[in-house]
Amino acid sequence: MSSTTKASRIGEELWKTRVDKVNAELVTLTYGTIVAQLCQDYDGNYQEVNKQLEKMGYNIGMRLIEDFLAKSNVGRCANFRETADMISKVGFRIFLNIAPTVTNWTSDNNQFSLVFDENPLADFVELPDDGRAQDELWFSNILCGVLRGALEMVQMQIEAHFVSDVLRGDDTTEMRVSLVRYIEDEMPPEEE
Amino acid sequence: MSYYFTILSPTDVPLFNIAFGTSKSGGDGIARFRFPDTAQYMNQFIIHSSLDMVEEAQWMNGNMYLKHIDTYPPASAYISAFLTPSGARFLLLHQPPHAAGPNANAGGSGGGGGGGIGGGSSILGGSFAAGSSAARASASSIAANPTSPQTEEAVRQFMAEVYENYVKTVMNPFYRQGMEIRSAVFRSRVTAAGRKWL
Amino acid sequence: MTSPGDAAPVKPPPSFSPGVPRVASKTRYPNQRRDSSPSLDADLAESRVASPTPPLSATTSELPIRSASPRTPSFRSSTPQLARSSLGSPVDGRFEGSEEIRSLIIRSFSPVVGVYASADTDELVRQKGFAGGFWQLIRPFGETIPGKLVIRDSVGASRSWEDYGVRFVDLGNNNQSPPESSGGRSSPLAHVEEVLEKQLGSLDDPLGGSLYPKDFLGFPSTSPLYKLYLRQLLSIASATPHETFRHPVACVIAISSRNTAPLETLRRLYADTNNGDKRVPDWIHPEYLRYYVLVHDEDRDDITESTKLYDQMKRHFGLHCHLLRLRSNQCVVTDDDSVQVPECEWLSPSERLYGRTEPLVDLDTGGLPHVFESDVMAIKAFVRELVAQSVVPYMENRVAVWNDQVASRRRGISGRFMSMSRRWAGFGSGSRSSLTSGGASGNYDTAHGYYKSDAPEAVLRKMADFAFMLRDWKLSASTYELLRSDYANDKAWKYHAGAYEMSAVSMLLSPSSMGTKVKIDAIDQMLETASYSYLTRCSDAPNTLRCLTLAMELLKSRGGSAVESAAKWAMRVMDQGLAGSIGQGLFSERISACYAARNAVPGMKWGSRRRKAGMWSVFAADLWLRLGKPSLASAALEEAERLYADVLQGDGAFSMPEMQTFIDNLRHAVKVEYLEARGLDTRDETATAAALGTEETSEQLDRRKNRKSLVVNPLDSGLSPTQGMRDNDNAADDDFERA
Repeated sequence: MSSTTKASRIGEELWKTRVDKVNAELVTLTYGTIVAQLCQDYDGNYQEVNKQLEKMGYNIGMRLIEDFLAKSNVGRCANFRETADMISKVGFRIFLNIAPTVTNWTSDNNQFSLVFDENPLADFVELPDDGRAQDELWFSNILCGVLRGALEMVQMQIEAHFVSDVLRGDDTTEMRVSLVRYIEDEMPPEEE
Repeated sequence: MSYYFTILSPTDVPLFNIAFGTSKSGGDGIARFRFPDTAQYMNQFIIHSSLDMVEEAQWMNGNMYLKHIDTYPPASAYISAFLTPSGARFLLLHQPPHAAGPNANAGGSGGGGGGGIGGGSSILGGSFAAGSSAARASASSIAANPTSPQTEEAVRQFMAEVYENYVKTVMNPFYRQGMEIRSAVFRSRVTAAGRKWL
Repeated sequence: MTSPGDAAPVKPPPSFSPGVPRVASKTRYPNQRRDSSPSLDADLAESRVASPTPPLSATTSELPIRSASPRTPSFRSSTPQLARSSLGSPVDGRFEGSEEIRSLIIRSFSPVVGVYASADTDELVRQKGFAGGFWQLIRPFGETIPGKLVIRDSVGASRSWEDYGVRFVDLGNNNQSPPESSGGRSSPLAHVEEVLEKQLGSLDDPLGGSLYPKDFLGFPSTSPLYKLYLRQLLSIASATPHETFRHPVACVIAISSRNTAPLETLRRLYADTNNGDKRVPDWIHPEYLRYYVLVHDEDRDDITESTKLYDQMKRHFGLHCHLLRLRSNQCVVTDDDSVQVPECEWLSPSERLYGRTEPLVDLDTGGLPHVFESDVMAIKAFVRELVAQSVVPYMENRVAVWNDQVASRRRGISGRFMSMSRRWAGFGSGSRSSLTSGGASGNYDTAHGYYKSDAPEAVLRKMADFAFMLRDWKLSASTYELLRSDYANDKAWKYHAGAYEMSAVSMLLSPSSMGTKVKIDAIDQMLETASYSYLTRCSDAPNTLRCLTLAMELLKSRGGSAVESAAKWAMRVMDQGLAGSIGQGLFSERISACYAARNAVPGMKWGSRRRKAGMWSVFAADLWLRLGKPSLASAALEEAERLYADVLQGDGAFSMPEMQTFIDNLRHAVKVEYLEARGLDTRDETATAAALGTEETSEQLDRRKNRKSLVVNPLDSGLSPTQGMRDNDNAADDDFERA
């Protein structure tokens, strides 16, 4: 698929030339610490932790999209499939140096899955063995928020959530992304 | 060869324990110590007492892997040590089997006699007389000789691999420093490292 | 000395141990002491009884020059005397105990002096109440020579000793080798164990825990029980071919003023020892000093007659004569100038067990017989003169002669060449016959397993032993070293073992070879060889045990890294099953003591062996408990706590759960058994708690935060101790039923 290959190439190129690198362990530990702290602050209420992570991600995403567009200098995507490739091959590449697989499209091309072969945020992580975290906590939930925030800035209202996570013992880590609607000529919403 | 591996915090708090047997030369990976099962405290006593040596070696020796640092002759227990830069100590107690034959030590749990302090057997790790002769007999085979260069090297590899996994484990944001390591993943990796090297 | 009942001191129970109120124990105590042999009491109580021999350090500090600057190294090295004197002063940081043990070891290798008295002499002494005759009377006085004794070493340097002694053995009635030596090889060790058992049996009353007196620093000194053990171990040896320590150096030939034909009797006695029925076996050097004593009966005979006779003796026999003036009347306690005969320190295990020819059996006289003070003075003067003017000079002379005639020839280039060419006999001549002899000297009688006393190998050994007994360890070490290869070539394994053993012991005693690591390694190697030859080649368990015990003690007294070796050898003893069950307990404690002797690097927390020491004390406690000795277990446990105090965190708990459980169970079991042994109703919690309370306050060491939990927990558990014990099988499943 040519748009996919093109996106890959753009992503690789940007990663090599335009991105300042930062130590992965630092990122990992920073993120891990945030999650662990939230778990502690919310006293093990993992639903709430998931919500907070998503919200943090949303606020990041709204800002990150500017940086993404400035660096990548890519034009408007023709359709949601192209958007998906852009997210996976360019967005994830330049920010996390990974390229999750885009798959499981619905027939109306409005829903797809990102399957993460690797997840730098979750390196070293083992969920607390309190018997609930395994079922309730989505450790990397911040990513859902980032996508929602970023795409909202480019007029796409989406919904994203994890459906599986290797940290929970699943075989794969998979995020489901659904296009809710294109936002036409509206004022950007207030920050949440 | 039977192994008892433990990780101690810099303040001597045990963070992780595992007992396993050799998987080399037909071993089934099950630990058979010379003391009865009821006397597993012996491993801890021996390990604990070797900290005297570890502490000394720690300051006299700049390496992480301290090699074989201590022996408890009555039970032919050999201690190898590895220090992490943060001061955690990896201690591996290894004990050659009673007799050279792999099946001759099936009585490892037989001497216990159930309750009692250390059961009916000698606290000092099974029969003294049997201990030394067996150690001598098994010294001829390299695999069972705890002080041979081959063993040192194998233990070094084991320690290095465990260390790698230990670093990952303590990087887990949910792991709090000084807490017991309860990660099943880590345990399985240590077991795997044991199977691979020892 | 007061009567034994009064002498028994009331010591507080070990502070760890829960105790009944002390009033109760006071009333019980004397009654229980009654049935134990007072002399054995005295043995254990020796720290209270004036010790017959002051520690070496005391000796040297009184010497004029040396006390000036006993620790100035430059002084020490300037002259040989001063160098040697450094031996006596304990190295900084070690406590007196090691010096005491060292002195004990040195004294155990005392020259043997035979005693051969005429029938009339023995008769005279029997009148005084000594069934064993003249030998029995003078025996205890030989063990410590009053005053300082100056000995010159092979390079002419003198050194004075205050703890010198000789061992008197009876040539008259007993043969030189007591029958026990022909019995089973392990029997001497069994005897040692029996002695200990007997001792403990007589003392394992509730106050048995006071077997561990503390010195003023609060450091536990060596337990008297262990000292008894060590003394017993070192007293086993009888005369054997492979070493000459028990061969007579001299012989006292005694007649009394009652004798009608004194000179003839003396000649006959001499002839007996020379070629008559008291003749020594082939492997004992027949030339030894004869010393002639005329015992004058002060109560019945005329001193002028005796003096005349004595002058005659001097004309006939030379200088080695003595006129001993004794009263023949029996002395009773109530006499004004009665003095109790000191107890023999060096009784062999069988003597202790069977009371053979021992005064102790006579309980009516309160144990030891009494003699007149004048007799004591006379005997002391006699013994001093015998040793200082005859025995020691004789030995010095023999060493010098043999050193000149035999040893230096071996030491010289030609000697080495001789020995080499003997080994490589093919060299030059190509003689087949000497090749097949395997380099053996031919002096060794393989059939009977000994060298004849005039063979160079035997003479050298004797010379080395003399040097050793004269405490010239440098010379003895080098001489033993010469011999080692000879014995190996001849496959004279017991000699071989002995030479290696004494070589190592000499080096350890020799002050000049202060231990570097290399030296210790070399010594370890010698000990390895010695124990291998003793045990594996000769199946000689008693000598193996002696060898390893000496090694352990002397290495321990060296301190530093040598204590690791010391502990290793002690473990070897346990490993090889050389010690009996009580011995195992004692050795566990000893291993602990070895490790405890290792101090931390100054200013650092590390370098000590506190954890190891603590562990072995715990093991000792466990062993004692198994043996049904809760008071010993309690003392060992207390020691363990003291040792662990430094390494445990503030709460005094072990971070390793199974260790903690084990120790908790052990404490509990010891406590319960201890209370049981005292016959205390363990259900009476208030009484116990009260007793415990007093213990708490009397606690001296302040780093015992764990004490509280240790003492209180088992009772706080809500169960009465007895019930708790039944519930908790870990506590005491084996001993409780018997108790």
